[in-house]
Amino acid sequence: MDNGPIISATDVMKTYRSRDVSVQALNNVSFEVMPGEMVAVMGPSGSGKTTLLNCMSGLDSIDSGDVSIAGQLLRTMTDDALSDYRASSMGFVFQAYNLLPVLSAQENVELPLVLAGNSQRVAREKAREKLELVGLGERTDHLPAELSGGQQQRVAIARALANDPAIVWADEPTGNLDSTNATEIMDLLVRLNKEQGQTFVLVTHSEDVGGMTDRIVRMSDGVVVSTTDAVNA
Amino acid sequence: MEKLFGVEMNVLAGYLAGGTIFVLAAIFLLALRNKVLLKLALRNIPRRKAQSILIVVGLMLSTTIIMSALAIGDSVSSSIRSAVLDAVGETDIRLTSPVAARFGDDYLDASLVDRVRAGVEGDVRVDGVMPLIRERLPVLHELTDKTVAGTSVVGVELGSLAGFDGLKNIDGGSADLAGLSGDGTTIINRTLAEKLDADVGDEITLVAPSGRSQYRVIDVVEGKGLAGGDEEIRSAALFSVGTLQDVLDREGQYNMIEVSVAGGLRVSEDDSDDLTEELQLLFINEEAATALFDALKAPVVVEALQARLDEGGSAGGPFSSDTLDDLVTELENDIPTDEFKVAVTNTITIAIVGGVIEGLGDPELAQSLLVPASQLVELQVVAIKNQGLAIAELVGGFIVALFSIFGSFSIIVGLLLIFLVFVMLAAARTTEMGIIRAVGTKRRHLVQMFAYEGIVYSIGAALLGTVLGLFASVALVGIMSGLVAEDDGFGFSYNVTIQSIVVAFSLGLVLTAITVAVSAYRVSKLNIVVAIRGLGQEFVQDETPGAGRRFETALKWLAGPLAYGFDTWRQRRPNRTTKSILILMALVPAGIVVFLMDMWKSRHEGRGVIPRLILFSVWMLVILQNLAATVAPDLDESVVQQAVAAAIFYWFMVFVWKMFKFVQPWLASGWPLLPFGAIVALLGFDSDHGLGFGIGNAALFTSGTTLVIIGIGLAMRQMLDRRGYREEFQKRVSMSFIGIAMLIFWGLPFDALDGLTGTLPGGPEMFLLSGVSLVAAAVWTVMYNADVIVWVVSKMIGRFGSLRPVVKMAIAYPMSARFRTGLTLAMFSLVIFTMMIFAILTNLGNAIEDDPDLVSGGFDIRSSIDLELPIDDVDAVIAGSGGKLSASDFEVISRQASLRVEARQEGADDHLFRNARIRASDDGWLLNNNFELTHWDPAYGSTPAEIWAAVSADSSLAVVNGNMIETGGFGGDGDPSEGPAFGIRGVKANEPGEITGVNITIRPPVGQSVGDSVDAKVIGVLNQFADSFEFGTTDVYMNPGILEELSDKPVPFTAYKFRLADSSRAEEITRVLETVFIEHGLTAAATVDEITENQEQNNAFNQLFQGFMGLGLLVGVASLGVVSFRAVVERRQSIGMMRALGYKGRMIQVQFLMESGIVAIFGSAIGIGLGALIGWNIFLSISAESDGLTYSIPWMNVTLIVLIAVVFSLVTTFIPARQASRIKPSEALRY
Repeated sequence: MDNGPIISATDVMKTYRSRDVSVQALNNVSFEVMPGEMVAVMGPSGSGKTTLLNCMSGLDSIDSGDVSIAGQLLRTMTDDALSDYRASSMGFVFQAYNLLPVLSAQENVELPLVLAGNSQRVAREKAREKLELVGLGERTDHLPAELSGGQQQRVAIARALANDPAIVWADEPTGNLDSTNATEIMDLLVRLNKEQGQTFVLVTHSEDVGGMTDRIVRMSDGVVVSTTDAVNA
Repeated sequence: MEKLFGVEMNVLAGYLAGGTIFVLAAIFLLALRNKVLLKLALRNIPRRKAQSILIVVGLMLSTTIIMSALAIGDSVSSSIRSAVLDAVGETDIRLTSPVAARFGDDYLDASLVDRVRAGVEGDVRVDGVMPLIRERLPVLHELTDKTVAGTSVVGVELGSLAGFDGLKNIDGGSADLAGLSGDGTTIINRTLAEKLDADVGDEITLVAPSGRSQYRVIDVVEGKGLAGGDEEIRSAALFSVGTLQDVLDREGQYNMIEVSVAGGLRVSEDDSDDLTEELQLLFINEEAATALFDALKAPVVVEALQARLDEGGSAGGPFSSDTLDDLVTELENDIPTDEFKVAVTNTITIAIVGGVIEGLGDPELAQSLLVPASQLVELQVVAIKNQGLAIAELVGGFIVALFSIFGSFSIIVGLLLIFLVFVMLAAARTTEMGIIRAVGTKRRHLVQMFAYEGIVYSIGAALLGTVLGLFASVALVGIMSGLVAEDDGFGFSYNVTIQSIVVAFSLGLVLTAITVAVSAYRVSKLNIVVAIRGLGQEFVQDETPGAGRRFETALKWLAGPLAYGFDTWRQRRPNRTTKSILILMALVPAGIVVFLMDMWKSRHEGRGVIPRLILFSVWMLVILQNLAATVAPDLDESVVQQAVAAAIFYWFMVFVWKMFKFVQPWLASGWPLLPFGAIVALLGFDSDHGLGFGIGNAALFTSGTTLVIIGIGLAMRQMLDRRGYREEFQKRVSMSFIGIAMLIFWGLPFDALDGLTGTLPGGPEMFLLSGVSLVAAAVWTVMYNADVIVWVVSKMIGRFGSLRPVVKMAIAYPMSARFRTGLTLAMFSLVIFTMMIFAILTNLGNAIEDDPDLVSGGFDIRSSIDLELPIDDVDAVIAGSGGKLSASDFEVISRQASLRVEARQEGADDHLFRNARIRASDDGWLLNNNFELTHWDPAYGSTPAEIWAAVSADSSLAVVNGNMIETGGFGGDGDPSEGPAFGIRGVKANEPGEITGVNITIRPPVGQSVGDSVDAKVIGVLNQFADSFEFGTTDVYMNPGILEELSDKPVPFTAYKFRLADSSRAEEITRVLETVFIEHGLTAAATVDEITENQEQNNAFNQLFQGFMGLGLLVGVASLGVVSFRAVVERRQSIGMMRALGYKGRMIQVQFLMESGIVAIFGSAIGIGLGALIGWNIFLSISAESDGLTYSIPWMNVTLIVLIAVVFSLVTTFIPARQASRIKPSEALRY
């Protein structure tokens, strides 16, 4: 297992149908991610990057093909099992942060911990630890609306890391940030990847962001067109 | 129904329809001016169809409630109305002897009939005059062995049937009235036929004082008109008048003359009132009228009457002051005019006059009034149909009032729902609205947009609500008609008037529109940046203009349109000097036109042009009106006047609003509320308490005190702020103070502060006020201390590990939208609160069932006999019953006689004699009854038995009915001496115990016999429930000795009360008694049966009522549904994120259900708690005045209500919750 890929997609097809149009979002996509790897999925708007991420993380279903995470076929898992799996082994970071607006920064991070069955005390300690890890020791009892974009994204990352997941999925994690903040966030992600050894899959259209990962998978019109090792790999 | 809360339905419908048209027209005009806004608004409606439907459903509920209340009122009054019409038929006016029907001296000679005929000769308004005899006599059918003791027997003059025809037999054909001319024939009505089991051709027997006689039934007719019976007895038999004259030994005599006004059943009320008056004038004794006139014309009397008028004439009831006014005016003439005569025939007016004259302390003068007054009328003329219809109206109005008062809670809840819906709609569209504002639309445009959208919902909701209300009322009336016992012939049928529909629709629409406007205004105050960025409202800066600016604005509006017109003009023509403008405006009329044109041109430039134009028109109208008055003085000014009045009212309201805006910022700081609230509260004090300027009004006192509490709270907050405490802490402390203080204040027993304020009268508005205030206070307190509750709840549920994340979110969301949650909680609590109170009140009544003796006094059967057929020896009749009854069946047989009298309390301010009834009771009754007394004079004993023994021994001692003393507090009108009924002042129902005997004077009614009045002393007061089936609210219980002093003829015993050796045989013996005593026309009822039947009807009515209020519950439940539906939409992304975090679909669903459940359970808890508290207060207030009540909470009923509420809330939330659980994370997270 250790030597095999942690994520593997084989011939994945995904079509979005509305009443009269159908869009081939993923067309026979196959690709793998090794444990501890940091991969960037890049491509122009509408090329299927986000769909690929959603399908591989089990947020969305696929039409055909197979996706397996750590050797387990997602197709065979129930919705509940997938939920549990997400709670224990995956973390998500989104462009729009998607923090729960009614919870404070601290509580947002605690949530996955509580969900995983930790006691309130343990959850609080771990959340604090993660927030410090992402450089947010203060302002942790503020609501998301009271934080800046960069701070919110740090909270989102801390939340994604809360349960020490094997994989962190990040969809345009720097999309809403200015360049300074974007660089800081990417530095943070890279550092975490190196220090914690977690697998990172990033969707981005920023070459700068892509350039900081181990490998870049380029997509166009629902097809993987190239896979290149990044410079710093 | 013709009136609602005293306002003509026609007028109300007119005004409301006018208001509706005005609102719609205003919106339409505004929409025309800016079509883009209209489009923006309307396109929002089909965006989310389900949501729009839900909104309409939510909005329609208030209309539904109003509609069903009105339709029920309509049905009640129309049913009573048709019962009245059935009973009186073609008869519109009835003429009877002024002497009460007693001893037969109420019979009229034929000469009077001739005079009536001559009086209406040739009058086109009259189509019939019928002299007749109506009596109540026993009738039996020997073949079937069935009897009807008190049948209404009617002798009609067959030659006078014109105008009284139209009787139909049960086969639908015309009744064979002419057949009555044959010897020994009768026509009976359907009710009697069914009770006797008699049919055409059968012989029935009439029992009369002269003996029995047989008649052959020649027809069976519907019980209407002449065959309609009377209010109490629907069984009737018709005879020729000659037959009855023979039987009753009244050759050539009648006991009433009836007049039919042309036009069939429903004739012009005015015609019949006019005719009544004219007929009355015909039968006024001229000599007596002149004597009365001369007596009253004495300067000292006129002066005293005038003084009474200036006082307001309230002592005789407000309804009498008009005729008293007429009377005093007419006294200015030299001879008695017709108007004078009409005025003095009003019995209440003449009673007041009598009181005033007695007050002068001149017995001779009093006597000079009394004699002619008693001889004034030869015939009493009554517009009997109009009177009956007025009662129908009154009862219908009462029912509507009852339903409206309880329904008003539901209506308030419905309006809150509207508010909530719009606040949520606004929240959902914050970003959009921010952008709309950002591109340059004005705040009022947002208001307009919401108003457009809202009005579309409102129209839909009002329409749907009206229709649904009609359906609901059909169902409710259906249930009600099932409850009304059918055997007395009163049918309860559905009816609704166009006016009611118009009122319900318009009221629904206008109420909704106003609420929409208020919410739109609140919504429009958004901060653009905050809105676009989706931040919380706490980031909004206060934008209140400075005091100077605000004052200036207010002043300008005070100055009215001139200042504004001037302002506008200055803006348009900046180069003109002020002076030149003023000169132009003052001197050149054309300047007005120029000015108007300028204003019109500037209409797009700034806000407030339209109001300015309206205000300008006010002044113009004032000028025009004065102009018109000079030029054409005959012109009907009313239209102009009304327009001016309306415009001035508008201007005034705007000014008040601007003044409010001026002081508002200071109000928020709290302290100005203190003096203001204190003044309002003091104004509510009794005039004998406080600073002496109070008018004694509970609503004022409580509202003022509430303002003071809020003022203290707000001021407290400012103090804490100055001391530098955290905002959270300031709010918690000050707001909790307000909430808790209000809870304590409103939760006090109703009379707790009477010592301070004096006894304050309060009507049904107090119920509404206290309910709303208490719920508001409770919700307020809870919401500002929510984290405590959150802590408790999460500690409780949090034990279950897997539920923890769900609970966390289920609490976090409602707590983050406190306004919304608070509103929902308030709605829910309010509904449960009302239902709870009602459940408790229903339970209070059941106390009678536990102790029937309270009502019956221990007598198992009560009965009454025909006055004309007295019983000489009861025991002999029983002994001769052929074994049907034996003396051993009875433990006590007691007798009572009743005599209508007038009574006055010694030392009464107004010297007025009022109506009362003596219940002269034999020792069997006085010494054996178990009735309870609430008050007694210790000089005569300290137990009921001792007091009754005293009454038995001394014919000048009396015990009075429990309804004749002063009541107070909840809903009571307090003063027993108002109105025409006799009451005792100074004995208070809520202070039971020892009293000092009250001296009273009793005399026969004016006109019966003159001069002999008797002094008596009231030494006891009966419990309120005692003898309540006798409806003797003015009964004075004395021993029979009193009768000899008041009546020159013997008064027979007409009521018999039996206590049985074996109570369980009551029902059986009741029937046997009626048979055995048929010769005396005895009708009997078993008290326990009556109580049970009464209770059953009460309970059924209560349940029906609870069903009606259940409509409110529907609103509460709907609100939770609306909130949940909105939440699913609003939180789509968050739900996606939670799913991404690993929440399972089921957990999301549980979370949503839990959110609703928490609100429903807390709402129920608040409602139950407060309901129990207020229920207890009501109980205290009632039980202070009557014993034998017990307080208990009907837990079964309450549990059921709460269960229904919670379950239905969960059911409504179930669909949105499932929707939420099915949201695909990948879709929800896409943006």
